[in-house]
Amino acid sequence: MQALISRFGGTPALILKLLFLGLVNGLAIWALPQLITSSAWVMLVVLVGATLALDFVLLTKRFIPAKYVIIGAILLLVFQLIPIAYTVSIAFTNYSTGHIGTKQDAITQIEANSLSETDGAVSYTMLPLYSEGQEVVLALTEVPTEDTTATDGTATDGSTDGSTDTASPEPSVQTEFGGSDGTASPEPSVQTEFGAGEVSTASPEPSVQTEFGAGEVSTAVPSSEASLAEDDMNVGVTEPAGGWPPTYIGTDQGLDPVDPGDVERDATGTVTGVVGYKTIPEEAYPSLDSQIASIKVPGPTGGYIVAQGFGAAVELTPVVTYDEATDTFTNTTSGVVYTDNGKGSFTNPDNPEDELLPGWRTGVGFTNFYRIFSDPDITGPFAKVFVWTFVFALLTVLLTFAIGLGLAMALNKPGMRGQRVYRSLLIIPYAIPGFLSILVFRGLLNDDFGAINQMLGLNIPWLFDPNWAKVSVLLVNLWLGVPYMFLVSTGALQAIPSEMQEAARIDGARSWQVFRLVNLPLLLVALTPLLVASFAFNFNNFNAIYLLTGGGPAMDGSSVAGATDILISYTYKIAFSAGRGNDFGLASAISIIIFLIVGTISGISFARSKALREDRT
Amino acid sequence: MRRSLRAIVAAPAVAAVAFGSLLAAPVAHAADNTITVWVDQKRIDNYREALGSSYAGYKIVLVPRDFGKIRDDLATVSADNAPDVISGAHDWTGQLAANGLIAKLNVPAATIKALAPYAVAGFRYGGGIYGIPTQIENVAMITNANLVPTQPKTFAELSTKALALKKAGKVTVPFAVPQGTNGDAYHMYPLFSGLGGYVFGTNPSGSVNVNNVGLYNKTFAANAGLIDQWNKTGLINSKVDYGIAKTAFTTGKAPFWITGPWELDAIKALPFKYRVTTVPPIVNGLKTVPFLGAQGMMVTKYAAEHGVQVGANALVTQLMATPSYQAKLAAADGRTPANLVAAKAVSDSVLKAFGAAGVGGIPMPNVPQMSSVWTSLGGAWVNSTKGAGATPANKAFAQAQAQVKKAIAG
Repeated sequence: MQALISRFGGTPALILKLLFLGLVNGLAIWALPQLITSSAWVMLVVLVGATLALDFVLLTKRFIPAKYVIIGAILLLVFQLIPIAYTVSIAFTNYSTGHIGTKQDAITQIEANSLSETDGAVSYTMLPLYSEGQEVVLALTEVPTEDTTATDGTATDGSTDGSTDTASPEPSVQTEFGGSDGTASPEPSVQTEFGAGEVSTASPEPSVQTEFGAGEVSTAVPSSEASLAEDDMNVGVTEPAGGWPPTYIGTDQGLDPVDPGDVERDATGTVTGVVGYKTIPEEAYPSLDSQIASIKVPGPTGGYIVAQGFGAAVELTPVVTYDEATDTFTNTTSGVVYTDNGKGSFTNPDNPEDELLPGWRTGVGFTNFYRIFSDPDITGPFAKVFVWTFVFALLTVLLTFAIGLGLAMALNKPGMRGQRVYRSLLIIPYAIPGFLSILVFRGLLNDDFGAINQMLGLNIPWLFDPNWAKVSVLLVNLWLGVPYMFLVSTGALQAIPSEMQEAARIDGARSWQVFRLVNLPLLLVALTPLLVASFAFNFNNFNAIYLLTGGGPAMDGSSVAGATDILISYTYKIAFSAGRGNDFGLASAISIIIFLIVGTISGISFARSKALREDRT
Repeated sequence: MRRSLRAIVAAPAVAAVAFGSLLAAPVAHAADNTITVWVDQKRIDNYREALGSSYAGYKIVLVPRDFGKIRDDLATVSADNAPDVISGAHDWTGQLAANGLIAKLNVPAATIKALAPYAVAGFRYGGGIYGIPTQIENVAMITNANLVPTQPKTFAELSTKALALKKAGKVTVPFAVPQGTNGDAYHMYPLFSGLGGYVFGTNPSGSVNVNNVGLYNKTFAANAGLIDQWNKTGLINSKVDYGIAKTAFTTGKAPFWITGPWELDAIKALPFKYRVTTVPPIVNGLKTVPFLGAQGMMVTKYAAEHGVQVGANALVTQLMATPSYQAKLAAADGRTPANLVAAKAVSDSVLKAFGAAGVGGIPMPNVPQMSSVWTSLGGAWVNSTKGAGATPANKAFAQAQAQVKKAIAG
């Protein structure tokens, strides 16, 4: 070892060090502009600080201890402390569905979303052109109005009707496919079957059972391909009776009619250019994208004509307009004024439910924490989940330790036959990836179709009864956790000097007394930190719950929490599938509570285990 | 000593600059003429085939994503890595639009007319259209024609046949509709609607009215007793999850299976004759219709930030709505196109049968409030059909109704 270190001293070490620092500094330089462009100031400070600190500590001859810890410290900062700080900062915001961006984003989005096609507004086909001054302008040609009469408007196409009692207005196609056996039935009924070894007839009319299937010759319909070839382009080769629809040059200043004689058209009648303007090759479109998007042509009905893709443009009028001076939105037709409600939304003060979407992310103080303890919809499930989390983590640790230790002691007898085989067998569950075992168990435990109930002739609702589901979760977690406890117990047992046990026996102690008074205390000195760690791990054992039961079965009185949910899986569900979508703020608040609980318990336990050790030495 | 010190300082500096510029060169932000599209990683090849690699001078970059996560990832992705266009399910529209993550599209009326009306409606939120539907889908009932020679006309008839088969030991699952511990309100919907249930009512304008929750409306309440009956006879059993349902049916151990066109490959590989139909009517006058779903393309708010707004808009509203694109996509992807012309041209008889089974279906609501519906409604089905110890359906669904109302009032 010493030789190895000395070999890596001197020049090779220096080269390695310089290469490493070069790599680090290079990465930092690479990341700098990106962080600046995305305004990630916190990360920028961390990056610059960490890089400089690393350079300084590793290049100077002083700070020998710091050389050993600095990399770990930086990684701790980046991967542990910053996420924690971020979570804490989110917990005090309303970060959730509808509140994810900045206020400026929200205002931009509300303005963009409120642009609507006015009734009877004219649609245009659009062609971007260069003016003489190399300005981009839009050549806008009116689309004949008969196409625009069927504006998108309402979507009352029957099918959106969610109510029940309505008589079914749609053609009842299902009868066509349901129906009786081939016997003469009065109504025409077709029974279509798809199946093995039969040639499809694909004739829908006669009331015969039609069957399809493997070996079926597919009856492709070639006729319709022709109609697909021609896209839904406006095809009008000859000039229509009333003349070509008018074409305009649109700029930010307004619409400027073009003399019909100056409009160039191709064989299909599509406008391809205007005399006096230069066509823009298609390859240049991408580079002009933002420019085209920013052209707002004042239109005839008071709105703005804007490009919709490259071929089309429509006139849009805003439904609400923003007034920067008062920081309010006003509905242009109803006159309703929407004000900043201080909670990240513009709302109508007379009707707080009337809200403009999206809102934005903003600080809400302790609201999220307050909700956990005051909102009955959250408090009820939270309390149940909280208790179960403790029960789950404690029972898991105690039972895995008890069983693991028991097995370790049983197999620790010197001179036992097949000791190695047993030990290897016991480690197998530990060697198989946990998520795989859990998924296998989910299948095995299925109440009606799982192997366990079927083979044992039982009828236990393993996964569907709230209490049995808890038992199942514990059992599967034991299966996963016992090998670990067995391993560490075996190691710790072998470390106990046999003289102490012999001495105890000579003093007249029985086996149980030897275990309780000699082995166990010595084991606990070594294993308490591991037990605490195991508790902390199981407190947040997301996989064991989420993969086995998904937190289910459903808990009465909560649309989010399930009977086997522990805090971390409950938090996950709140973050991603709360009542209105996501609620990252509330989820972060619960995460902080979890962190405090686990931190406190671990802290106390470690302090006590240290005391335990000092007693003994 | 002096010299070595200088070397120590100089070397990392040189290495740093060299390395940094090396890295910076190729990554210097992706050129503005690139439209980045997030698509389902399992189907990326299908999209590539239909879409090609460029459009109107723009380079199209398809990025494979876990489909189920596209919606949530879009909320957290950094602007630099954000897509300009995403493929998505129509029921994401509400949440994405409420978050301001997708851009409203002002689609020409002619384009809209060419697409299945309910599919377009699915992408409507708060008076705007936020996506162009490209594929539509719904569940249907697949019947094993060997086990059930004649298609039952009513659900009662179906029940009798299924239970007789079970009693005779010919099948293990009498009616294969997937649920599992956390429920599956989507696959259960034909039964739910057949009993008179609905999720949300509609406003006169056609938009979803989240204040009209119909999970436990009067009609449904009157019929809910049937659920208890199904539970008692074992016809519907929440312990049947997706895998069990599929395995049971495909191995001939279930006479009926509720599934959608995403199982087309498995369906076509069935070694026995089968029929694709709706679920037969349960109660007179109530239709057993499925939820209708659409998948489509949406333009994100990042398209404008990346300076490809017009191009992305053109790609989605112009190219992707066309019958030729949708037909190409359907050929590659095996789903029914949303474009009516392209849909008519579908020649696959099984796909057509799925389409027929969806007629009159209810477009799955796209409001963000749906997330509480999935858990509550799914949970009500699970609890009322879990065999012994099941909650009476009247109680379970009344509870679900109360939960959803509470969650929405939030």
